Amino acid sequence: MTRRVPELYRAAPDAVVYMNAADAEKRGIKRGDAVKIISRRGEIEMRAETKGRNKMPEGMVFVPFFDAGRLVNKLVLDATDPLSKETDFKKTAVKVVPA
Amino acid sequence: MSDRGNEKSGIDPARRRFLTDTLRTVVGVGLVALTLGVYQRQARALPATTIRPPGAGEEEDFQSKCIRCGLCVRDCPYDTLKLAELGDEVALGTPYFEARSVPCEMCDDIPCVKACPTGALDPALTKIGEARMGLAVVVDQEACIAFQGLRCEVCFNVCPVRGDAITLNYQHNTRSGKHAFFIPVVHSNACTGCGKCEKACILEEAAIKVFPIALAKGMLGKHYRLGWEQKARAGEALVSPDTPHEYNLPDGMSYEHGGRGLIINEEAGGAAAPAPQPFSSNPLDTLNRKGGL
Amino acid sequence: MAVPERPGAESIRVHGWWYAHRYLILRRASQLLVLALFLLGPWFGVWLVKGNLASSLTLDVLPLSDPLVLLQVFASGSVPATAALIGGVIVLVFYLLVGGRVYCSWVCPINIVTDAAEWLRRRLGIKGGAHLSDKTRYWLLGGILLVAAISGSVAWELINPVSMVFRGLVFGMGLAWGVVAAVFLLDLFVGRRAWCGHLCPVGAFYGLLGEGAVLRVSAVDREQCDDCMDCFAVCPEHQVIRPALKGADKGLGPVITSGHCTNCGRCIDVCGRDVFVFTTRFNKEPRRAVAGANPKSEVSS
Repeated sequence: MTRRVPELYRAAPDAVVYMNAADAEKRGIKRGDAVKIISRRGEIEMRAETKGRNKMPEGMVFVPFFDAGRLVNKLVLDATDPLSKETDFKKTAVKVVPA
Repeated sequence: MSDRGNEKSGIDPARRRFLTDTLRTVVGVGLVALTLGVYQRQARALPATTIRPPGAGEEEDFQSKCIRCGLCVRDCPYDTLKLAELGDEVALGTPYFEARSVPCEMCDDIPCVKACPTGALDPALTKIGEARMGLAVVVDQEACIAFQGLRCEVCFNVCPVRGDAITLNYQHNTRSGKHAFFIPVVHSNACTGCGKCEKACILEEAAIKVFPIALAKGMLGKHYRLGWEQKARAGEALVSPDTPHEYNLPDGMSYEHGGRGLIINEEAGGAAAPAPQPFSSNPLDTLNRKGGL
Repeated sequence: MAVPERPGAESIRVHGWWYAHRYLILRRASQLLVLALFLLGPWFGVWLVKGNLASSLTLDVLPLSDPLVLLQVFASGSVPATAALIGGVIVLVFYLLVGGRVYCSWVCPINIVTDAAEWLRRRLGIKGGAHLSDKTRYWLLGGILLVAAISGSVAWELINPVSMVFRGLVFGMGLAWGVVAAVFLLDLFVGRRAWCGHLCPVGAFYGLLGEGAVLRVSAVDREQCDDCMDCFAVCPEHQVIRPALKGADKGLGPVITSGHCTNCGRCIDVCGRDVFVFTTRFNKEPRRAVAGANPKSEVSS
């Protein structure tokens, strides 16, 4: 978990969910609205970003994990691969709804 | 008070009192009005770090239309806007924001402009990308770490009109001799003055700042004509026809200016063997090569 | 005739404390209610009313704008957009009906300050002060419109204590408490009712609106008056009472017709003999219909 480097904190203070503008519109979400991201394992709340540096394809959203105030790990599966013990933290199926 | 005494002066005492009272009032009110006039001229000087909401237009026009009701402040979803309080440097009661504290998030529906009852925020502004709240300027090239050759690009990345309002200009880093500077350059035709760059600048004091356009923008003398633009418009040189430059090169070589550069014409048989390349296309050659790189 | 130090004593004796302060309490309630409506949003997130007295939006449909501010916008050479104009007309019509200076006594937050100064002034027995003409406010009103016209800016709103204090309470005061203190001290030491009764151009403007207003205070039972002077003592514009109360000989009606009357109703409160009553300007009857058999008698003094 970061947010410990002043320069980086200034550049990106809060985690936001990057999503495609068309996806957002379909769900009645405007850029900057608070949204709920829900998976089978949990839910978190953050603001939606449809512009900016991460242009998401339709059907996919992206949440960074640096922000200790918004734990995206609540959403993902904490099972590990039986052989390599690798965790499955990189992707999961979620719903995005206005908060 | 005796009437007789005043009859000598020829002025009725009641009339005299009325005249002096009126004169006193008029002079007093005149002084107040004069002070107010002077004060309002000073109040027009907007501090350089404060930015008006989208659609505010020129300060003079804005202060004629803004009635200081604060409806724009109320409808700002990010609490960016605030009303100037007594003691602030901004004209009392007018809305403004400071980019370094809370920048404008450039809402697509521009609620602040919709809320304005008087049109001080121009209702003709319907696309937030056309707002011109101010203009970002890289004010301190000594402090900006991009000019030191460090990779930063935060202002470029947070820009809501990313890639248009701020571009990165690659320049050769002569200090190291082998790296590039990624220099942020602001373009006034796309910058809305939202201040996200100033807010995000990682320095302790921002090196990129948003200023009122009148402060930030220079203007070329109107009589200037840029030769290359005139030439492009006319389709040919305006003074004398272009003559192709002739290079004095050995046989079998030619030079393409602004293109491939030096061309060694193999067909002419001038230099049959290709110039040795520093690296082979086969990486193993490099690994097996004797001596240093 | 000395001005009584504690006006309304007789009324309190006759009617009881609450009844003898009914309009004062209603007025304070009205002033605080207006403020509370604007504060519900920023304090509790209940957005019934947004904005401030310069312009507001109620329940996202009803625009209200201060006609004087709009007048300044016009004077400074701009034309406000429709929303503000509609709001201005609504407010204008309202005050044309109920009396312009109802704004002063039932809405304006400065009124609480100047009433407090006046109360303290009476209790401390501070007399006299600078001589100010009560016409000064008209000159100031003209002055601020002139400055707006010359400067092309709504300049008066840079220093207007009335809008400054209300906006300050809703949006943040800054140094505006200093202005509140200044108005308080002005009314306490410089002159009785110096701000509201002599200087304030906002009051002057609303006073002009109120010249033809329908809602009026009338001295219907003026023959009952025993010259106790209580109404004169409490009236913020006491020059308006005399023609109505004592004008029977000159053939003047009992209705207070001056636009300066703020319709505060304090004279009704403090009168132990129920001389005054709220009525319309068309009600020229010199006495109350329900007053019973009370033959018109000579006013004894």
